[in-house]
Formats: sequence, C-alpha cells, structure tokens
Amino acid sequence: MIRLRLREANRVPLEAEVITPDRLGPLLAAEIERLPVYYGNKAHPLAEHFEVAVDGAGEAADGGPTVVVEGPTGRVKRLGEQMSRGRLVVAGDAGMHAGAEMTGGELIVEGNADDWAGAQMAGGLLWIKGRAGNRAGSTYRGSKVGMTGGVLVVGGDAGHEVGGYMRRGLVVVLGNTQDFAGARMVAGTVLVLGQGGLRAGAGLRRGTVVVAGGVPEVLPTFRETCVYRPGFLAVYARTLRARGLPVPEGVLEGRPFRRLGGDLAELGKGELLLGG
Amino acid sequence: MNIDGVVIEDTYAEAFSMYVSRLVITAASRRWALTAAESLTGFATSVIGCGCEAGIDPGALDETPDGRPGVAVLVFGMSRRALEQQLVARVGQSVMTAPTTACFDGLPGAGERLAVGAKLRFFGDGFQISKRLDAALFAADGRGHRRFWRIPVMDGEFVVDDRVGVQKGVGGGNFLIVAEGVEAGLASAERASDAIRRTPGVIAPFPGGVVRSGSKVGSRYKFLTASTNSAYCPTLRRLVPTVLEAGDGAVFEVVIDGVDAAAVEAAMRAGIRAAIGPGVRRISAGNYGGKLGAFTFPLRPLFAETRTPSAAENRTTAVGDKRMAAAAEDHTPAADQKRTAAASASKGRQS
Repeated sequence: MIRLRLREANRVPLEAEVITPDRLGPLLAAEIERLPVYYGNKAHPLAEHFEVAVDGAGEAADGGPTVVVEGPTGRVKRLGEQMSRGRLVVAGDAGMHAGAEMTGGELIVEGNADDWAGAQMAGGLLWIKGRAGNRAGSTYRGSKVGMTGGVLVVGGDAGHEVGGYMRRGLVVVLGNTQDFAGARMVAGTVLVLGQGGLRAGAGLRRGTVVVAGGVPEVLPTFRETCVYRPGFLAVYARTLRARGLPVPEGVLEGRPFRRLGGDLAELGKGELLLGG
Repeated sequence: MNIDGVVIEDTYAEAFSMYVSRLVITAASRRWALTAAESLTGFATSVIGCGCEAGIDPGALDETPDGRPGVAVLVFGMSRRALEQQLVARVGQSVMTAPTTACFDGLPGAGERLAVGAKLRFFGDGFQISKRLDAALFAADGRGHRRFWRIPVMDGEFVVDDRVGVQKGVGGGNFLIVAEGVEAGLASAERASDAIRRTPGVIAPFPGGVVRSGSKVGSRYKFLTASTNSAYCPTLRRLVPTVLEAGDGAVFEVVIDGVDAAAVEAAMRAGIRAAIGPGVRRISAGNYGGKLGAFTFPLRPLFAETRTPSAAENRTTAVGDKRMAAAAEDHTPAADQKRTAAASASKGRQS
C-alpha cells in the first residue's frame, strides 16, 4: 500500500494527475517523492506537498496496487485521472477532475468531489461518498462524448449536467441533482434516487434517465407513454447492492414509474422514468 | 449385491457428454414462473426427437436477479449450436409469451456463452433497448459485463439476458427397475422420480421422470433407427431373445441428465435407494459395452462406503471426453446429424 499525506491545505490548487495506482505502483518511495505535481504553474516534487509511505500490504481486488491519499485534499485536482487499475482511496475531499477519463480500477472518495468528477470516464468504479459538483460523469466543453463506460456513484447530491453526453455506462446519484441530468445522452443509464432539476434528459437521443423523486417539470418534447413497474430497475438495484453500494430497497424496484419517450427534438429513442 | 431383497445387478449405466445451460425464469408470482418453466421444458424428453432434453432444476433458488419468484431450468443439447437454437426457440415461445416473465442466465460463471436475448431482441422491431451492467460491478467475481435486453411487450417489457452460460454436462445416466408387475414397478419408479427431483443439478427429462418405451438400436424397418427394446418387453418373453426371467412383469427406466458426473451419480444413488421396495425384483442399467458413452456409472459401487472409479471407467471417460469434445467443435449439419445418431445409439431409447 502506498500512503500519501498532504502536509497542509493549499490555497492554490495542486494538480496531481500522477497520483494513480498505475503510476505509483511500480515505484519506490524515493521515486514517488520526485514525481512532479503542479502548484499553480510551477512543477514541484511531490514530496514537497505530500509525506510518502510505502509498504507491501493491501493489493486491490484486480491485483493492482492500493494508494491512500489523506489530509485536506479538497483542492488537489486530477486525483486518479486516467487510472486503469488498482484502488485509490481519497480519505477526504477531492478537487476537480477526480477520476476523469479513468478506464479501470476503483477510486473511492470518502468526502465530496468537485466539478468534472469522472468526466469522460470509460471504465472502472468511481464512488464518491459525499456530494459531487457539476458535470460529474459528463464531458469536457467542446467534446461530444461523455462517459463511454464504467460506473459513477454519488452518495449525496450532484450538480448540473450529471451524465451529460453519455455514450455508455452508469451514473447513480443517491441524493438530488440540479438541472440537465443526462442532457444529450446517446446511450447509458443515469439513476437519480432523489429529485431532479429542470430539463432532465434534454436532447436525449437514446439512453435512460431515471429520477425516482421526480422533476419539477418535463420538457414538452417528451411524450408520456405509460405508468408501469420497470423490472430491469430491480436488476440494477440488486446488482449495485451486491457490489456493496448503498442503494436503499424499494426506491427503484417494485414501484410505478411514469415513462416518457423522447427527446422528440432529437432521435427520440431515449426515456425518462419518473417516480414521485 | 442385494439391498432389502432387491438384486442390484453387476452392470453399469453408460452416459455421454452433452452441453447444458441453466436459465432462471422469474415472474410476478411463482405460478407464472412455473408455468413458463413447464412450457419451456415441455416436449424435451430426448435430443433424438425433441432437439434437447430439459427439466426444472430442483436445486434451491435462494434469490433471483430481479428479486421476484423464480424457477431454474436445465436444458441439455448435443452441441452448442443445437442448444442455442433450442434455447432461442423455447425462450421465445414459452417464456417471452408468458405474462410478466423475465429470463436470466443461470450459469454466470461459465466460460462459454450462447446468444439468446441477442437473437430474441429483434422481436422488439427496433424498439428493444439494451442495458449493460459494467464489468466494474462484478469485480468481486471477476466476470465481465452483463448485457440484457428490454423488449416491449403488451404487459410492459420482457427482460432477457443477451447471452447465457453453457458448460459440459452429462446425459443419459440411467437405471432400470424390473418389477413383478406394473403396479409395483410404477410405485417404485414414482418413488425414484420423487427422490431425483430433490437432487440439485439434475433432471429426469422423460414424462414424470420415467420411461416405459425403452428402445434398442436399429429396426427391421429401414426408415427407423431405433425400435422397441424387445429384450425387456414382457409380452415378447420366450418369443425373442430376452433378459427377463419368469415373474418379471414390467420394466421402467429412469433417465438422468446432470451438470456433471457427480450430480448424475448422486441422483442415481438417491433414485435407486428410493426405488427399492415391495414387488421390485432387481435394478439394472442400460449400456453398450462401454463403446459409445463417455461416462460409465457402475451400480454396485454406488452403494459401497467409498467408491473408487475403476481403471476401465477412467479410461472410458477420458477417451469419451476427447471424442465428444472433438465432435462438438464441428458444427456442420452433417456433424450434427452424426452426433444425434451417436446419441441415439448410445442412449438406446426414444418414445
């Protein structure tokens, strides 16, 4: 296990994309300490900001290394960016871009995560136990492709545009979301167990946006088809629970949802499933 | 060997490799899950005439993928291609049609997969929706992603796994109950069938788990590959070469397919023990000299305290496995026909 402890809270964001199990796993402690992190526009050795400890224990489930990051890390950006294996645990908060473009492994954020968590991720599990900022599991400006795989779980609330532009994958928000959840999705699934904001599913081509707590209003380009009990949501709920994720019973399974097809301003093969 | 006055003949059952898939059928109530399962496994007594052999898996089903009441079924075929065709046809006609049902893979750990939902999805006429549960959700058991289809139907959606697992199984385990008459023989066969129904990982595919029309290979009619097993017909005793003795009034066969040899052996042991009772004269088994089947199940060692497979049994098993594996790789229609003929000869029975 590799343990990194941030020495003190930083006012200027620290960019630390080197902190992934992939990069750190093969290195000795001294080599890790020399890796560059960016403090403002200056490259500093990692040891200037983090204490580093390495021991042989704690292999992740996929056989990759385990890395634990501790301390006041709310302004440390790009933790776990592009990681592909192993397990990264952020014991506190994570700054922007945590787990962005990750392709495998597990990234666990015990606290909250700032904007763009899991942006354009393609695989693996990103589990934020607290809140997530805007555009979690979404895309960067200028890109048409959001998530293409993997699973993003947010234990609390999430900001705007969760799961935007998704092509494949799963976003689960146990709390509420703000506006534009699942906007411009091409495929994939967004499950919001709380309430959604405005314009959920705007521009949806295919894919599924589920908002168990309902939304304040539905875009006029969605057409209500029926009220039914979608059996497949029980498969999701049980699979998530079997993976150890805290999806409460009775929120997704065995209850009626309004099904709306749309967005008819686009291809119109997507669906909004609204509870509440 | 004699158990409670019933002779256990010094012979063995001969069985062979098959491919098996396990499906979990769920529905709003157990009634509808069972209805679909019974329909799917109907007319599936023998690969020779039905294309597959199928039955309800008596193993415990503690939970189902969607948490609803469910029933597991086992379906056996001679090749992966033949099995896939049967699964698509039977799930499509017997499960998708049954109200509120869903159909899931019951062998998620199997290395090979057959396309079931992947083919049935077209029924959705373009309105089917694919859902993919990412491999990250199954990290603990190391399997890949799971894809299933949601096909719009008149009561909502039919959910079906894209692919289902398939593995090697064992078909054709058997034993014969030779009784004084029909009443005693039937009572014995019913007890055996009930015992086998409580054994996990096996099915007894014939009606009620019992066969009364055992067959021999060949016929005096050129168009028929098998005909009645005259040596076991009481009405032909002393008219044709027979194995029946004076006082043998009826014979019933119990056929067993299992997910592996151990399951078949356990079912044979349980079935034979239950079959022993008043009016039963002896227990025998069907074999063809060990030449056709990949597996042999000697009867007497089933009841020994510890059973050690004989050298001949091990040799037969190993050779048979290789032969069946090689044959199963060939998916040409001619090869399929050949396999079915081999099964016909090997099993020596059809209704």
